[in-house]
Amino acid sequence: MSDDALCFLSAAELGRRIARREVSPVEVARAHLARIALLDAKLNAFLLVTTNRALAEAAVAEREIAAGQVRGPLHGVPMALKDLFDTAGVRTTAGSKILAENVPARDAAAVERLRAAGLVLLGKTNLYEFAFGTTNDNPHYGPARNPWDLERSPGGSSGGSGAALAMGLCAVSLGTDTGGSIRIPAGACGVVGLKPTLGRVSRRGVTPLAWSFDTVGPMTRTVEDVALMLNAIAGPDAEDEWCAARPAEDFTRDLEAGVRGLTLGLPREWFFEGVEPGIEATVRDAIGVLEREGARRVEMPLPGMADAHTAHHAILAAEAAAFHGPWLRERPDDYGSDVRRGLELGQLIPAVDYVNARRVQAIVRATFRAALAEADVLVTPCLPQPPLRVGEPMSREPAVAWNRLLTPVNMAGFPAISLPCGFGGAGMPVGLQIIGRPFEEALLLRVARAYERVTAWGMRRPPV
Amino acid sequence: MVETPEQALIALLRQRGLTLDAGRAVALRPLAESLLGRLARIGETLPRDAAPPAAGLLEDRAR
Repeated sequence: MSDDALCFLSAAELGRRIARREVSPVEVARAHLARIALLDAKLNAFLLVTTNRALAEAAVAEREIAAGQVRGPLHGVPMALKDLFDTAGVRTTAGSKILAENVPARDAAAVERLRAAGLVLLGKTNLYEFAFGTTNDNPHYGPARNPWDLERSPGGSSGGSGAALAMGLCAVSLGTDTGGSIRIPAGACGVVGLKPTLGRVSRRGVTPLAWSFDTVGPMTRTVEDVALMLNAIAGPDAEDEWCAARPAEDFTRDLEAGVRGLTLGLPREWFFEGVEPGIEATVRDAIGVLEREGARRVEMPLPGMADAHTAHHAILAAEAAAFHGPWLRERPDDYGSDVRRGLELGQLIPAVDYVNARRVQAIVRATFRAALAEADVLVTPCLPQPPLRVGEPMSREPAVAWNRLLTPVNMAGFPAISLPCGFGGAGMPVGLQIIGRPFEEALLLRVARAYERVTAWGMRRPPV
Repeated sequence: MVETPEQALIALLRQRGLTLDAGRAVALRPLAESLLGRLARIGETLPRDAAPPAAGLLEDRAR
């Protein structure tokens, strides 16, 4: 098998071949590192490549596996981490100038768990500064670019992870989603990204953006890989008060159960309004595929989403302003202009408006809960428009914001996945968003897998 | 002397220990007016019985 083919295998398949000793972790790491060296100058997906460390970790994995000590299905599989996750002894910038020299002493909780599962760290991926944006136009480290069109953004804030996965530069990645930052790059780059239920995965060791919404989740090329990654990282953490006590479970258990008898809810309002026609047609085709697989479709009201987006913006900006307050006072010029403006805006939000935004959050949660009492999952487009051009300013206005179909889900705290479902009018990947009930990620993955199984969109490779 | 909206923004942020120059104030003003305007409208239309989410996470009400 060629190195290129090796780099586009799913993590599950790589793990199986590694466990059977058909391919070695060192060989896999070398193939990915070579591909990064060859292609990342075009993408700028990586802020740091940990070559020596990756090879050393891969060698350890190889020895363990040779000795019959297989840690699990992802042992020896190469990963890239959004540079928002603390990595012990490895620079962690959060995409900022302020943390440019930051070298954490300890891994983030999710990173600890991935290391325990035997994954090999290839490097840290590019992101929007402090994850406070929906593209990957980073003013300090340069923009990441979309492998499907280098003039376009891979989305953000976990844009480097999306670009690296689509280009076969890593097998799996870890992102964070506060207002769509996993689902946006997944949708824009044609990969799979899961925002788990708020509290499903520990956030210890992740630079905060907004405590009310910050969620850690997997980004991969297949649904099975998401399930395997979630198996590795989900579960209680006594060191994170926001982390749910709910025990870990096997998220692969229902992957092949299909959708026969399940009900798909299609919101009547908001989610299909102002959507680029090519994207809407692609998503409706995808819903048709799920219907042919045996799911039933119901249209349902889902009011109040414009207010949900506005309230989300207020909570996010205020909480980010609180976290960044000391740096903003002491080192304002070390922020990029957009993030600085967003933080200044957060400083202007009155306490009463913050509380009212939280009241909206309760209403949004109730709205989603009612909808998901009538349907097993909700199905919508992920992004309303094709990826922005690199450098094109993003808007946070509800009518046009690129993440406006995603922020309501962050307000609810419910899980949602984006998976590739075709290509839109601009020839760019289109993401299908599936939203589920709290802690029902296994059902989300089941629906996503049912779609993936009968389509091949995730198999397409970018032209770069 | 009448204070312009930009001057008001500069003064507000100065109270919070932040320095905002005139150029940045011009860029910030429409964003602030839009968001704070929408939040004010939301505040006027919220049902009286709407409370913030209960303390704790989603777990207790997951089933």
